[in-house]
Amino acid sequence: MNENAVHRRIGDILLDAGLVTQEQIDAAVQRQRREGGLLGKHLILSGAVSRRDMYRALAEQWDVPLVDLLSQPSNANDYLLSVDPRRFADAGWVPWRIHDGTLTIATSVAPTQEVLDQALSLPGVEAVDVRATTDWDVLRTVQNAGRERLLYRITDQMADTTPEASARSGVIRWQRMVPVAFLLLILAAYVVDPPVAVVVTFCIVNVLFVVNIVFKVLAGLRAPYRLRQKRRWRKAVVAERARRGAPAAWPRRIPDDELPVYTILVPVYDEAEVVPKVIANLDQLDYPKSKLDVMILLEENDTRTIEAAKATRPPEYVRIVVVPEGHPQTKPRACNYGLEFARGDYVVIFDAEDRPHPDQLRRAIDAFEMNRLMRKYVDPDTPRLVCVQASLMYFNAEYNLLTRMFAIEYAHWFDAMLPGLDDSGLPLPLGGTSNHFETRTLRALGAWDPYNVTEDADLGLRIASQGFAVGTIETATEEEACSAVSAWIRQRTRWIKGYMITASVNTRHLGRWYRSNGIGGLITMACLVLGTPLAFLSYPFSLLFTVLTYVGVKTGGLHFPPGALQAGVIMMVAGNTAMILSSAVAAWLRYNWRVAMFAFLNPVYWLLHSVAAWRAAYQLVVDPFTWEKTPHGLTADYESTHELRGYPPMP
Amino acid sequence: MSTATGRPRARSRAPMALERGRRDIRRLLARLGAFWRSLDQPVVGRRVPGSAVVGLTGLMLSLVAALLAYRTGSNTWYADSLSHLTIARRIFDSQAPGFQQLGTVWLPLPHLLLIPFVANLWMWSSGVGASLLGAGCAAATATAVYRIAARLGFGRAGRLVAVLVLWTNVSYLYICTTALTEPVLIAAFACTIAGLVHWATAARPMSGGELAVFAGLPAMVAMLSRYEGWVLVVSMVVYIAAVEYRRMGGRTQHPWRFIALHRILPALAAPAFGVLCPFVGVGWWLAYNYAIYHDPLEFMTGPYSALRQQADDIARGIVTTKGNLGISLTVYDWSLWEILGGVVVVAGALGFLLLFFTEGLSIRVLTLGLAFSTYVFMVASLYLGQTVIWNDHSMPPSLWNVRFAVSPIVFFALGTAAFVDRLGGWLRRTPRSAGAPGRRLLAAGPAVVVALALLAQFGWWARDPGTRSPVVAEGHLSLVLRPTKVIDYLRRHYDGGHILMNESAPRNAIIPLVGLPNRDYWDVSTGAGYDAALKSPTTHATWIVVNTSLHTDYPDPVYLYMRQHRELFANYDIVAKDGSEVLYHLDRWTP
Repeated sequence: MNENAVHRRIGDILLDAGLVTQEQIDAAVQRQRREGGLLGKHLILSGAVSRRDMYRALAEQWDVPLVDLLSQPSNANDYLLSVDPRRFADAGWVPWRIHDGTLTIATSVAPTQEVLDQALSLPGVEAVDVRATTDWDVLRTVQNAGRERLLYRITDQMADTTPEASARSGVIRWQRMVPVAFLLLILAAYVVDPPVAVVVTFCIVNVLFVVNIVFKVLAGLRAPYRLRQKRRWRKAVVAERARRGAPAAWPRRIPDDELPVYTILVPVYDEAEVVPKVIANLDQLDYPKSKLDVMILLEENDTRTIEAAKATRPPEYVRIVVVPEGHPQTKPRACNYGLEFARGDYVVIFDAEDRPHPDQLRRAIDAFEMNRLMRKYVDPDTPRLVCVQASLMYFNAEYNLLTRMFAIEYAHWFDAMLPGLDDSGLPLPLGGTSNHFETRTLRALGAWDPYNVTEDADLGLRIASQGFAVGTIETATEEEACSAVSAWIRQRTRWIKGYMITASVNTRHLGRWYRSNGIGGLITMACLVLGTPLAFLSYPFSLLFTVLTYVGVKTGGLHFPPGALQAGVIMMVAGNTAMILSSAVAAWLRYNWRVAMFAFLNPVYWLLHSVAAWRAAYQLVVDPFTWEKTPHGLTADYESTHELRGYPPMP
Repeated sequence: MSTATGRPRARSRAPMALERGRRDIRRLLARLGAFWRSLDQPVVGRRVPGSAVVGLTGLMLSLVAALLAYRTGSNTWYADSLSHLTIARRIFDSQAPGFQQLGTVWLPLPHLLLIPFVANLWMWSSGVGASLLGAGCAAATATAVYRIAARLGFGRAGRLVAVLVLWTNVSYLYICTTALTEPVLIAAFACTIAGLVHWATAARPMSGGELAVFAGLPAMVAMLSRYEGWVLVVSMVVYIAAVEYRRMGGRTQHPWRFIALHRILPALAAPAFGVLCPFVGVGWWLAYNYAIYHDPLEFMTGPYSALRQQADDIARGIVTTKGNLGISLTVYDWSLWEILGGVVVVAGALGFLLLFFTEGLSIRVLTLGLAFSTYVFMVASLYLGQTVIWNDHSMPPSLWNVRFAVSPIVFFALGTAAFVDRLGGWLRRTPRSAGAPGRRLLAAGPAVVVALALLAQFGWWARDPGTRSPVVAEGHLSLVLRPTKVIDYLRRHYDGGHILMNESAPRNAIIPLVGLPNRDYWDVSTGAGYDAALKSPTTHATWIVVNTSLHTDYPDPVYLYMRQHRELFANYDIVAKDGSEVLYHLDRWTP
């Protein structure tokens, strides 16, 4: 390397080569001052210069040749295979050639002494030679060389190292035996004494249904209290800041150059048409592009989407990452692969059709920062916040009846129940999208279980079991509600099956699990994770009993315990009514009364859940890992006419 | 100092306040102007501008009518109205409460809807609860009619005239103050059509679920309110099939095969959700009849069914409409004329004919045809002897069930809207020499003339509704037959104890007027308790109310039992009498 060349500025090299203009350099410098980071990155992001040209210039600056790893791939596979692939991906360089103890590395970062020392530390390396290459080449090389290792890590490592936390082994023996024994017991009761069996079934199904409903309603009822508390707290903070002469706005808006790099994972499968929309939606985020690391995760066998994605020529902050083929081919597996190459301090998942509100990433960072301050200055025992969940809402809520019902359900779930659980300190089952993590902690936790079809809910519980906290943030992501009944049932089947699997994974060793999760975890597990499938499995029966009672059909000589029949009917009617009112209020606040009024159809909507629940129970036995993907874009022609209500703007 | 500084400030504020006031008025006028113009805009999407204002106006007018009716007591004149109130309350207030109290004489939904409105004893006995439900129905009907007119493409004049037809009809407003079932039926009927028109005119095909909610649910309400609703559902299926056929229509070489496979079948399949709700309702009703009476068709063939009650009249030959279409049409049309008014009948019929001859089987014509189904049902019902109406043109002339002619008001309201809209449209186009303002004035002419005629008609009715509105007159006839003395005595002298009576017997529908809770009665609806009270009256009842007339189709069973078992009732004294109606009281000194 020529020492004089090292000191030449990259802008000068590019100007001399006629690749950029002075105005472009000035604009990039301005952005660099505002957002921080490397000038070259800003030039690439602004489109002033191509990635290849930039690295050619960098090669000139570093005074080393530029190599194309696609046409001249690395033959130092021994090194690549012996070391954690992420180490090279993070470092930005890869071993390229080895000859007589001299290792030639291909680097996309400046060949500093630290880089050279890292290379020299590899076994058998006596000298290091340097070539320049692009970051894409480095990534591709790592992906190709570490394929088998990466495949193992994203698929089976968790199941091998912590089998009790993985769904790979499915439902264990005693868990299979209990429901079978229970069903046999009921059948036997029907044979021996049918009237008693009917009474017992009636009581059981009502209790199962009511437990889940009461939990959801009670959790939701905490939302207004929490809202009031937050407002009072904010008011108190503003007053105190005013007293101390500090600006009222708090937390302050973090300057762009202080923001961390944020990784956004967008798993896409068989959705060639949505890729441009993904980019357009993420482009709305109020976050400097130079700090964004967007990865569109595509499956290797989905060539149509891969071609479509490449054809869209995404902006430079977007990476198209192809996930190697493997089994099970699930979203968590794709996300795990993306996480391997995440550059951000924080990572978030969005679905392909998601429209996150622009402030979402900043709100997440504020929440993490607030938790850090709380632990540092207020209460060191406050659990560390490692994940925050944004609300989900539907932009096509008024497309048809199903989307309305779905929107009502989500409004209650994300705007009432989850904040209520958060406020009560109970573990939260995460939603499938818009959950933000600390990257480092997520990796340490083992990331997502690829064998679990509701990996999100599972991860939420795992985080809680490790003593960390999951919180909610007042911002939302607009999604497309599934508008076709058949697709909705498939999607819901997956969710309910996932809850069943999550429940089975977490309760394999009940005593141990209880010791690490405590009473809060037990409540969430019993009433929500396990309670939801059980409630929907039992719902048709409890509804049937209620309807039969209502039309005045005599109970066929059955002898219910005193008050049991009335209690059952009251529980059913009161439970339904409470849930209807609770979700109607949430939907009214989130959307409008026109959507909210459909909450009265909840009892019918829950019948669809029951169909999905029984389907899920069947799949749990015969095909537990099947991932029934939800089709997107069914309402592509539809734009909601209603105004979606967001949260108050950030200070 | 304060005065010195205050005065100049006050002077400077005054013009500012004035200017602000003017600005506010200008802004208000601009908003009103924008709102007024929005009423004339074609409807695109879900919202129909003006719906809320129409609904609120309808509610207010009905509440005013309810207040007037309450002050005269006319909201409880109809004997049937009192029976509906009693049934609704005894579901939760009875010696044998429960849903079996719905009985089978009438369809159940109006009683179920009444429950929250009659939970309070005063609201029940005064009939105010029913008036509130009626006001809600009137508001829903007005809104639905307005939305139908708007979605059918009628302009502002047509839309407003359509609701004016409702608001200027004394008979309709009166009926909404009572507990009769017509207000619920008409509201459900109008809402069903509104849902169907929304479906038929929507730019984006509505889903089956939406059709089920917007049309199927109100159709179910109609179906469980009155039997006209059952015909509505049949018409609804035909309407859906016809609209689907029109929407997809005629682009094939094999039309019949194409129609069968690609039009009719999908047309019937798509709205399956829509017609499911009403059939669920019917299924429930059949199950209820089977569960309570062990006969799913008890409501049709039971002792209290209309069929059974009319059997005697038919046998006596006084149901002259049966088997005679001419008399059926004459009787029904005369009631229509009297109840809806000549202006509405003429304008409504002309409007429909104008549409039919200029548009053929358009969505508008099909919709009006759907609204016409109640008319067809009633005439067919008269012809088949299922329904009896007695009016000036019936034999014998009397007043009985004339209110059945209120139901087609939705058809005639829409027909009048069509008349105004179509005529206004022609006048706007033809005389170009009149200039734009002149053409606008001419176009508004039919609406203004019809509106003035409607108001004049309303004024004529309102001057003497008891004579000029047959519906009010029929109610008044019930009042004349009412055993007022017995009611008053019982209300004033009640000092505890139960009352034995059969509320279903003639002139016995008085329970709400007495103002005592239903649980104080041993009525036939209390089942075993009623039987026990008959067998041992002194241990059960302090009071007995009976109709002693034996010259009726349905003599009072309690009185018949008293005649057969005089010894059981020897300790009862007559304390009040009103014609054939007698009130007995148990002698306190009886050992």
